[in-house]
Amino acid sequence: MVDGGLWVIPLLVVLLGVLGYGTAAYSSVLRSRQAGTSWVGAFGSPGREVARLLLGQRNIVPGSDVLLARIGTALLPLAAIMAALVLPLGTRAITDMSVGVVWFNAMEVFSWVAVWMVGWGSNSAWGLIGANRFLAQGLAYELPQMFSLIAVGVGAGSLNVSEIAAAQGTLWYAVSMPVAFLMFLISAMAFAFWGPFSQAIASDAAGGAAAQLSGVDRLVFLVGRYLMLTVASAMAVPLFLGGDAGPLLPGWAWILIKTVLLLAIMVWARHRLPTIRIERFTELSWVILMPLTLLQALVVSIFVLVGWM
Amino acid sequence: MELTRLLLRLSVPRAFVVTVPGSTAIRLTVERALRERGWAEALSPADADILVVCGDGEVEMNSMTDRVWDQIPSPRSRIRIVTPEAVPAQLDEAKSALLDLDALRMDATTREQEQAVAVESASGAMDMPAGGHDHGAMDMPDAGHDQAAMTMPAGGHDHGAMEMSGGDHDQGSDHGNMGMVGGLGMAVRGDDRDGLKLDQLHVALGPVLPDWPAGLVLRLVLQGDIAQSAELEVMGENGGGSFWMHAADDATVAARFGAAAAADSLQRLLAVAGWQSAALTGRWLRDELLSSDPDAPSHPRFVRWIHRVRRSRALRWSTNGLGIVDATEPHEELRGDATARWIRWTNEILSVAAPPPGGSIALGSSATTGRAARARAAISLLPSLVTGQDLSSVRLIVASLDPDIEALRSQAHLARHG
Repeated sequence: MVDGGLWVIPLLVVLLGVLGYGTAAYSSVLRSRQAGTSWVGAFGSPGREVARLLLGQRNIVPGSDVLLARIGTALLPLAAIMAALVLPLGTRAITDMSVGVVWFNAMEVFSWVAVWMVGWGSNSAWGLIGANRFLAQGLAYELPQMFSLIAVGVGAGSLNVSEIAAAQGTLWYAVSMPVAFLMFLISAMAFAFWGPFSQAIASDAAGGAAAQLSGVDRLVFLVGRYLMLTVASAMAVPLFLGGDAGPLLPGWAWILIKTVLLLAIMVWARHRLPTIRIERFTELSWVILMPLTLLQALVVSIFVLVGWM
Repeated sequence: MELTRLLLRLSVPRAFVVTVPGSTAIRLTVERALRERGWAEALSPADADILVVCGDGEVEMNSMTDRVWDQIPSPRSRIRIVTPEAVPAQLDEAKSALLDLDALRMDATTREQEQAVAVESASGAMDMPAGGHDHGAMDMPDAGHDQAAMTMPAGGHDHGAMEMSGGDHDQGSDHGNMGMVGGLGMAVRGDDRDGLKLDQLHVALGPVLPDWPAGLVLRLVLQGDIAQSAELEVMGENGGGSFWMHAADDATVAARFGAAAAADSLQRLLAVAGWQSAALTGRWLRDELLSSDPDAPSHPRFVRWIHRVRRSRALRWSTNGLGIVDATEPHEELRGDATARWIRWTNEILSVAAPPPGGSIALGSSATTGRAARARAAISLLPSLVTGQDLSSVRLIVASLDPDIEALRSQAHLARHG
């Protein structure tokens, strides 16, 4: 199963961690610019936040389901790391399975149950509201996302992530399937409850599903969230941006550059857009995104049948 | 030990800010100081290290801040600020209290003991299973599905089942261990608007809630996250007057003050709408408008910011059609939907930050005139506007009306004594 030895897994986790930290640091730099304070200290602020959370006492609400909430908290980073196993690093993935896309999709859906468990287990009205919101959000983004993944799979004639990257040749799927690409970026932000899709932990519900988390529980939850975002961005590279293809630089460098670029776009979106209310997002999703991605899958299928792809 | 010290030194504290009605001047100074220090504000007590109470409390408010204090995990410190001048010194004091390892350990130990006693007495007195209580009786007096944890009702602190806030506790069906979890009552079901039977959650929004008008309490009965009914209450003592009503003789100063009031309302709405970045710039602009520097608010970054907010389709899309007040409402500022109301605030800010060339500055309406009457009108409209809406809409509607409770109270005071 595992190519290249087990030592690659810690390397992968470290790499994801570094990218996740970079994302958090860039986000806090943008934040400090908006607040009119020095951006120099902002690079270290995620690290300081980690120090703060390591010290904090764990909050336990009477009547809360502690076990459920803690399993949910731990599930989030675990699911992200499991999803990353099929990412091609350089030329090969850690486990280059034939149904890599399906595996990724299955792991990503774990964030539904993770957020739900955290919110429900906290025994607070805010947590419950945040958890409910996330389920509604999941129902809204998941189907259009699956149709866009189907379009990619049909286009490449494979569900293996490396083969999909190789199948793109000179024309990346981001160009030939723009709707699917856009939908994938939206869903990446949605399952990492990031930026415009962060209603599950929104400020109007006092932090929603995360309202009662403190100390190391909050740390694990937030780390999981950043890992999810990083993995989603890294996944978009082989699926839509030609994987390691690029001139001059070695393949791994191109993967890194493309991933960082996508992460920067997501951080930018967070600072540029307000949260989209669930009610509005479900409407957008079912009325516009769903038919569009279906159409995208249909067009790709016809192209493949005709032999243009 | 050394590692703990190192981590304590490294961490940047998060503050949970509670504003006692009538203390807007202190709140503004605190918010400015936190922004300039780069200390984030916590959304819930669980995520906070420092409890900052702005203003000298009334009895009712004191018991609430005590409960919030009980919910803040150790290490923690608390300050009560009564004058704006004391803000920097007291924030420093709170930060240094978070470095005093011995005192922090003592606090944590006493807390554990108190909690152990509370759990024992609670389980003994009520004959309740004590499971799941390992850390908490003091933490959440009412965290059950019947009450939002951080917006405690004005009841006692005796922990538990007897303290059902909504008064809907069905004595017949729900008593005894069957309806209890960890010594707390379970939610009771009721008919909802679609003819289903759903759990009813009694959630009080305010008075202790971030980005919420100080002194306003909105008691909701939620099913799912839809408000089935809403009751409104106003806290605080009469008199004192509103910070935003201090009239200035000079028209320019008055206009700046009005724009600052609009910026304060707008930043709150932006925060509720989940646009933290824009809300931060809004606070920054508000602070500049209140400062003495005449040119600071006209800086291109602020003008860019207002235009970005005004152009934001996503924000309009979120607030369109929420809380529609029809044209028969005598207060023009309240008419229309939430979008119409926040657009008016941006107009007011623009008239000061980027005045039309050659045109005179129109005197802002937010500042002095009619604030109290407008707040009263908004409060009488609110319950009917929020009923049937989901929680995020409720928050946006309240933020778009942003009733000035202080102004209302000072007006009541004048009416009684004048």
